[in-house]
Amino acid sequence: MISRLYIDEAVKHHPAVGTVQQSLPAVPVSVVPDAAKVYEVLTAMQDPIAAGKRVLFLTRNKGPFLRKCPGTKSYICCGYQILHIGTYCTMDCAYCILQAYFHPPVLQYFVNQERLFKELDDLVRSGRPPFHRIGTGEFTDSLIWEPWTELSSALVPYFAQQDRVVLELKTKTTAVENLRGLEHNRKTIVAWSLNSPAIIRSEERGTASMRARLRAAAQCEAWGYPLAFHFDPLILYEGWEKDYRRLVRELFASVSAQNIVWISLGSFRFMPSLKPIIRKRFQKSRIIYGEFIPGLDGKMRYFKPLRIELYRKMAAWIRELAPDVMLYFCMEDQEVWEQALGFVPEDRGGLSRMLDESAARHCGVVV
Amino acid sequence: MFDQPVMKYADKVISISEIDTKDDTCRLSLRTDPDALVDSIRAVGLINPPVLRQRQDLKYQIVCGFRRVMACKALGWHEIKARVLKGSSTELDCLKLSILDNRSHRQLNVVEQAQGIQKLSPLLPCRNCLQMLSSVLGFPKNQKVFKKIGSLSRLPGAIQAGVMDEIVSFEAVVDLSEFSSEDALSFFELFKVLKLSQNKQREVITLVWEIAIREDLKPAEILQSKGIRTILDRAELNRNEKGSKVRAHLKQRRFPTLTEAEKRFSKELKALKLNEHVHMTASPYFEGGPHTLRMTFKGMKDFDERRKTLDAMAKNPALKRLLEPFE
Ligand code: SF4
Repeated sequence: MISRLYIDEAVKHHPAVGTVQQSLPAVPVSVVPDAAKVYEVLTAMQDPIAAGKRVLFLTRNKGPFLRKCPGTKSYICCGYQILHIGTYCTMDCAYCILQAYFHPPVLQYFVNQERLFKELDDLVRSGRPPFHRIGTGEFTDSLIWEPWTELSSALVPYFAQQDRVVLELKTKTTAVENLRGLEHNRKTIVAWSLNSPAIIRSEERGTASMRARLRAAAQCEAWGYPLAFHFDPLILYEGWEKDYRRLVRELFASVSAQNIVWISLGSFRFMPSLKPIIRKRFQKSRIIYGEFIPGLDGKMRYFKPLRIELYRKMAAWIRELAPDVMLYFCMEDQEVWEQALGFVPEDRGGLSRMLDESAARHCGVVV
Repeated sequence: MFDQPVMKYADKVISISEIDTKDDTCRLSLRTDPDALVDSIRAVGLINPPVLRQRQDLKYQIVCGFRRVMACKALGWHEIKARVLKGSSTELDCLKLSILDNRSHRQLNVVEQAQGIQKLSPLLPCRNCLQMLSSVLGFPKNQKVFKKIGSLSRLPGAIQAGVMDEIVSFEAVVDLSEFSSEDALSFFELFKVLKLSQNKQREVITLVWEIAIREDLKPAEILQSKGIRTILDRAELNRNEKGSKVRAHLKQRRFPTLTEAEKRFSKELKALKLNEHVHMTASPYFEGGPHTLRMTFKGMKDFDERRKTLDAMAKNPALKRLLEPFE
């Protein structure tokens, strides 16, 4: 899968580099002065976006490891914090924004984790952290790094020994084996993005099947981990109602509703710059031809009544089987909340607070 | 490959019947209409003889001067002075000569450039070679523009000629190059009738393309559908009106829920009974941004009048329906 390993000159003696190299013994290695060299190689390729998924660049993060999730004021944001472990992904989803985020996108892993843990130390030792939820799955998939790194074996026990913040590992893989036997103290939530088998087949190249994801989730539940699920991106297509309803049923047949910390619903939205990329790279994909309008944040979104209908139905199917589960929308406005769920987060202390409280109930964090 | 070899010629008088005027191997312009040249040749004779190459079947192929040969033919000449290439010259050499000859007295238009790119491509071992030749031949150096011009050559000649006649814009033609000839010609027929601006042509292309994907139809089927034909057949409408109606029709088909909401908004707006001094506009796409209310007035008396209109508006139940359209 990885065809070449690039190592930033500045980190070539870092012990984490040796670990990755050992796990990829047959992969040719080049030491490069900086990222520019890697970009140059990728840009010359026929499909740089696909090529960036097959080279691994080991480097250091020069900016902060902890970052605010890039929400906008126009929609209600969940107040998540990102732990920036690396960028990009080995899987290939048609709708993936990472295709358009970086120029060109490249699988990049930050080995200078001393600083990452230092930032975490500062946060948890402060006693009253300004937030209680951190995730690694914003600029990458949280678990694709498992075959080559010891990331989760370091992160999970770290979060286990404090009670202020939960870590969410969000994935479309089944790479959970390294989580077995780790001391987690329920401070790590393992989360899956879910979609119908039809969408997974047509739009999510290289990801685990829906059943495999649910089996992995059940396995994590058996190991005592709390779980979360993200129905995102929900896509309107012929047969979506039947497929999504079945998906909801399969979810609750696989894991216990009581062990789910939260479920998010997000309808497909995309930056306009992603449209030509999808057209070119996923010629059979139909997802960009829905009734999209420009949203208040500049992203294309389904016209509002279509979103409301989609959410109402999803919420009803979920509520039928899990009436108490914490359900929320990713980046929607008050009108959508009101119309689809019958309340607005403000009435319950705000979305951030609602999620923190759910984390407190399920994971024992002190908020 | 990039240097044009020095070509040798023999000046000869050739019978026009020996020239294969249908052999367009080296022709760049889609036009061979000799009208403008006929008068000048009649007045001063053929000053600049065409360049010909003798084929293996002994017929002559025109390398440079298609319109000159056609003009002499139109004048009823039987013979023509020509410069015949000596020795063996390759098709690539002849094409380059033809392009350079055209360039020596004018800028090549996009269609001629497209023809040049199309004809040279199969003769060159790699795509880069063609781009390296660009500077010599006067093609654009910018890769994007080069690609766009090259894409024109995939289209039927009628559409390429339509660019020169300004029936269809260059950018729209680039979009059309992704369609089959049948589909592209259907668009072209529509543009002939409607004379839309570049942006509107591109909007129509995108709408039809996306409807075709959504409804699993061919673009030509949409363009020839009853809905479009009915609009085009309405004798009482002028071109602009037809253009607007076709676009509205396509928009409705592409965005049915949005169009429905817009219609409902217009209906409720009417129910508000505003006058020409008070205008309300919905938030863009009803996404939740601010609505706009515009009011014009001259003096205090006017202002009081408007206030009454606004008071009445506030009491009208249609206002709530306008502001909460998805209840
Ligand atoms: S799994 Fe996530 S990060 Fe990876 S390609 Fe798909 S959307 Fe992008």
